[in-house]
Amino acid sequence: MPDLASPHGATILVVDDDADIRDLILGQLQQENYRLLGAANLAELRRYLKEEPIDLIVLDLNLPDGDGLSLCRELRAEGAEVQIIMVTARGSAIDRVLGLELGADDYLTKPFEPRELLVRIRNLLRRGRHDPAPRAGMMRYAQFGPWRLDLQQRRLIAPDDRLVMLSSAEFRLLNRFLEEPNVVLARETLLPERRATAAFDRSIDLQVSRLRQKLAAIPGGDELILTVRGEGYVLASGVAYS
Amino acid sequence: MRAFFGTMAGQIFLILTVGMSVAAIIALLVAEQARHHDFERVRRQRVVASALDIATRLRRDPEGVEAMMAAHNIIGAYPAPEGVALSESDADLEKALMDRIGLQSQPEAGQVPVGLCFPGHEGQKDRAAGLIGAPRPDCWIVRFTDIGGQRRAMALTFPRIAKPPSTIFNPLYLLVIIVASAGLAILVARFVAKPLRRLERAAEAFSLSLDPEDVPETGPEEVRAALSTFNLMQRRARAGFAERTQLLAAISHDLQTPLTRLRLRLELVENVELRERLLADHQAMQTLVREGLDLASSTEAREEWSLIDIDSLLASMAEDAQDLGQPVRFVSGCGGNVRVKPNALTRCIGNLVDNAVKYGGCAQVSCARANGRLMIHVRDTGPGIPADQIDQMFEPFTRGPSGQPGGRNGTGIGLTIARSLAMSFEASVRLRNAEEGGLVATIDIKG
Repeated sequence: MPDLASPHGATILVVDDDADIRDLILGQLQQENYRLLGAANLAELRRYLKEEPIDLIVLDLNLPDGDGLSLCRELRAEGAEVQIIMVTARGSAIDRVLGLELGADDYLTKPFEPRELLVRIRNLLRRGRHDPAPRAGMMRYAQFGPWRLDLQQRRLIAPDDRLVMLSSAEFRLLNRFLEEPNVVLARETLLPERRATAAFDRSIDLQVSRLRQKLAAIPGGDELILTVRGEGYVLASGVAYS
Repeated sequence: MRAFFGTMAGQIFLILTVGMSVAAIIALLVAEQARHHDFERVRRQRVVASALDIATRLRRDPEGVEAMMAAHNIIGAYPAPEGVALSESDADLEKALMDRIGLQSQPEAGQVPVGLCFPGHEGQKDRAAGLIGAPRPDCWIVRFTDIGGQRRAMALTFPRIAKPPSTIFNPLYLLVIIVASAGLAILVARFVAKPLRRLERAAEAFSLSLDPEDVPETGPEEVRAALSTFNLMQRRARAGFAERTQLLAAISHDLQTPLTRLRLRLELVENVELRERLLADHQAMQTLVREGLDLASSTEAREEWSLIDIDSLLASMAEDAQDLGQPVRFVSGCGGNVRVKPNALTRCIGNLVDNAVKYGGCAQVSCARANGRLMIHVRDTGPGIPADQIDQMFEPFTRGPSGQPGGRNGTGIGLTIARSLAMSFEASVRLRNAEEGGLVATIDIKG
């Protein structure tokens, strides 16, 4: 079923040295309205890059004539605008964090659900390379007040390097605050997935209070997240990335 | 006290203290004997010197000297009284006299009580003032034949030499010997026990961790040899283990390519029912591969140690599980921090929680400190495990009984992975049935 939201005519290059997998992926993608190319190694990939305007590369990292990582880094160094979805086998030395750090836009482990690949390609193409890239890929730490937040491992780091763990919900919430420091955020913007009921939802208050409790565990950590009566919450601190 | 003598240090202490004391006392006794011997020799030399002197004088002027002796004009040499038998003749003295006077002399000599020397002078000492209780002289009777064939007999007297009293049974001496022995024994026992303790600590670290440090090879030669052998064993064990996990990792890793192909091809199957079944099979295989990779990577302790706030970890894990609709509760925390490898601990707890939910229906996570250790308990309310099967549960590919909910469905390496992860941060995982029912899995961490 063709997805109306997908940009038509985008060119996608699938790079995998396993001919079967390459053809099967290409076969899957044919359901959508993309222009498809396949490459078995880095040499072919480079040739295509020179000859064709390519929007997105599905890149397997283990290629016979070199690894995809250095290529990825090279392309980014050249300032190439092409989007890259990295595909690796689970348990290889490259994990998601490293992959994203080295300039991939997304990351999948083999064996993957074919549908998932489709969804990710669609999302990446829609977002476009010109949008601000997700911060997590570029920056590792966000410093606010006495705390540092490890954006990749999703942990809080106290000034004495002690780690305080966050639940996924708390991390999302804190991340939302960090995106817009010193701005009052209404409940519904803090929990977009519950937008409809956010105004009455107490669970957001509960989560904020839990997060506050964790932040208040060290001196200077209290009063980081303030309540603005009738409006929402605000992170009262500057944020520095490193 | 009993415990101390049960230790090697205690036994070395005991053996050395007793042994050295006994040896020192025996040596003192031998020295005492030698001293006694020397003392006797000095006494005899006096007799020999005196007898020779008289013999020489007699040779020069027999009558004159005899008269002087009879008149007690020579101090220390008198005519021997008649009829005194030498009940104990002194063989050593006789031999010395024979050597000095001549072979023909046939000397007879021996000490006699001083009364026999001077039969007529019993009351003599009463005439001297201040001599009551003074030692009476030693008296020796010496008979020999001089060169002229004349048999001579004389009584020789000497002031008594008092032998200094023996020191050996002086309690101070014994005390010094025993204290010195004990002190030395303690030093030796320490010295010997120290490398053993190091080895013991190293072995303990090896039993707890898969990636222990080598023991520094220092100390005396034998100790270095033992430590070096231990290090070699440790390296070999580690290498063997690493080889096994590498094999597992390689197989699991290489299976991913065919699994990827299979997954992509399954999209081409048009029979929906068949496709669903094949997908389920594929999913099962994929789970197995993933857990195999997890097991392999769990033994690689690459992660950095960090200090973490333990309650924040347990609370956030419970919260995440609740968000996914799992019945997981964080019951009670223990406060404070603990030094671990955070991702390994997280995955370890995650595995135990998954097991509790799968086999026991729910998970209650709590934390407690006792005796310098920190215990994380994951409790379920399921049927538990028969006591005789608990140890088996840590073996790879052992699953709960098939009658149980969740039994026979998992891959059976969840607990193996949990234990292996725990070892990477020097902790252990135990299972026990709770008295109130249900199974309790405990992670036992130092600190």
